[in-house]
Amino acid sequence: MQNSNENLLRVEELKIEFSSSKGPTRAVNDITFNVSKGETVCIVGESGSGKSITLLSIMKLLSKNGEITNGNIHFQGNNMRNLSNKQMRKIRNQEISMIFQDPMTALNPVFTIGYQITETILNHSGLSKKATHERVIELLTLVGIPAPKQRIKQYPHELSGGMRQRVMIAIALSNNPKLLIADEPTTALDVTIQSQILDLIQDLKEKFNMGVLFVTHDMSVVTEIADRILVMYGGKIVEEGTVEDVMVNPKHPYTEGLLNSVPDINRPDRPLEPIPGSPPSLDDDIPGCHFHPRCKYAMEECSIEYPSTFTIDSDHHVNCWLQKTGEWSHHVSESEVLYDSQ
Amino acid sequence: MTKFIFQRIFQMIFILLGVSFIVFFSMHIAPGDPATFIAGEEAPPETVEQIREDMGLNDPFFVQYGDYMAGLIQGDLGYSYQTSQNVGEAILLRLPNTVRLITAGLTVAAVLGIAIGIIAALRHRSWLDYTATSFSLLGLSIPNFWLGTMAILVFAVILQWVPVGGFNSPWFTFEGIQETIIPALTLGLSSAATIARMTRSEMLEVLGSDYIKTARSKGVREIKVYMVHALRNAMIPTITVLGLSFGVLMGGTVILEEVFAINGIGRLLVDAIQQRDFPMVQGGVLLIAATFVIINLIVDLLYIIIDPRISYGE
Repeated sequence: MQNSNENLLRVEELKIEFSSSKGPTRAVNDITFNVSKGETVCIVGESGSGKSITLLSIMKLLSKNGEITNGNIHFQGNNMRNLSNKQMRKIRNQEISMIFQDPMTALNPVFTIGYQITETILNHSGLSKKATHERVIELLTLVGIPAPKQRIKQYPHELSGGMRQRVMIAIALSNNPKLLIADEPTTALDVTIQSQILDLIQDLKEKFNMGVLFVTHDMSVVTEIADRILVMYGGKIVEEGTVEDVMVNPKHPYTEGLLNSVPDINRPDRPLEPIPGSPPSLDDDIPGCHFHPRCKYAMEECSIEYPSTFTIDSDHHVNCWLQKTGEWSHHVSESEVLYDSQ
Repeated sequence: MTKFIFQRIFQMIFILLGVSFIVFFSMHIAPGDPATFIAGEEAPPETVEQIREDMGLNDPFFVQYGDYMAGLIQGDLGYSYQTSQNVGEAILLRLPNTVRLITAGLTVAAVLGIAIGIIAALRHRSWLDYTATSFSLLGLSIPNFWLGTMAILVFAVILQWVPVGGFNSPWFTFEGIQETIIPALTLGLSSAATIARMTRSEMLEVLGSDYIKTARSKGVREIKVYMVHALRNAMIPTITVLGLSFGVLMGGTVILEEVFAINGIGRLLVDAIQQRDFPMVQGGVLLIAATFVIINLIVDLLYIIIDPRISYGE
């Protein structure tokens, strides 16, 4: 790979299975992607598409019944698949940090936020008490928390949702990680706070040249922060490309469906078009393309064989048989208005 | 906070008033005449009647109760019908033995219960978990008087590791611990089982929460995740159970002091009830009720320390 020194994270042919009483179910099926330094990659998809599981597997935080059955996760060129728990502990927060969906439950209610940040710093460094204290203040200032000296003595329940998510980000940045993983960090927040948090993540990414892997189901969030997009459906990546490629020129009917189901401020009269049906459950064994039961363009072969990867241009790939038959025409020509291409 | 404590102490006065009335009333309507016990079976009816008159037992119920309460307010618990001993003094004399038994029993219940609960939760669905759960069920189902008798048989009579009964040596001597260990285990076991079940289920619930995932993602050691991040949260409901077990333990001493021949409040009470020694019963029950109320007040105050979200107003 020519730009391997730029590659922070490389996930290769990853498969994740969960064991249950009914036998193993596959949550993530053969996904491959990269995240580079200073790049924001968004994974988009509905609930149950395998987005969050992918993130947790990178951190090795899958629940006990979940297991990586195939593939590798490389971080800065090192394979993390076989790292022990002890080795993983050194990577967590020091190299890769994670922020979670719900700031109301992600902080421990019985410890002060000062303690929770201090603990994170001291896990990885032997800073003195005074230096740690200064670092905590510095981090809280960095994430835009006013009056940090008072805040460190407060408990999570004394802070608003937005403030708590800022604290989570401060915790995540404690040891200057190179990669920030975010699992729908703005879903639980209201819209104005949401954009503040997104701005903060963007600023910090640029400031520290971090890679950001960001999971969301919200297309408006994607347009705001993403450099590249991975669209996941039923445990597979169905379309991948730069934000311009995917937003302006979506090639997969599912991506098109996602874009059509979002209201557009420039075209308030456009009717919203929901994707019919619901995402497949992990137990469903759908032959061929997982999306074909919900796809309005479904053809015969869609139910027979999983589509191979078609390259639209160097960065833009899609798994859809429409590309083979050439039947795809640009159905969502209007979607560029959603993505304001500056 | 101070206001809260004063409110609770104020409430306690009414609780104790209620308890004293119920005990006084139930002793009054219970069959058996204290005068007969004092005079002896063979005594002529006139003697018994004379004693009844002297002791004020012929007065109307509310007069008797009023007399008793008048004394109680002045700190006078009355005199034993049987031994003429001052009730307060008799109780104080026996108190150390009961305190020793309950403290040891509570320690067993808390340490054993919490430890077993944690182990069961950490090794969820393993043989350790199943063993711990079975132990809990067993601990809850075995009556402690039977367990106590068996323990004496095995450890005192057959193995001769410990004395058969009685507290004769000071607390923290080898002999003292030897005397205490079997009664304490017997007393604490069923509470340990309750606490173990509570700790286990709370730990399992807490371990599934988001902040545990956060702690792990920060690179916190597993042992610290369990013992600091999870345990403190799991302790909040467990403390409640611990406070309630105190009542169970106090009830247990009544039986186990008999079984292990320990001269404590429990045994004092049993004897007093059998001999219709009203003032002694009254004094013992009031002490137990007051202790229970105070312990639960302490538990409520412990919540504030463990859980910062709880406060009792300013």
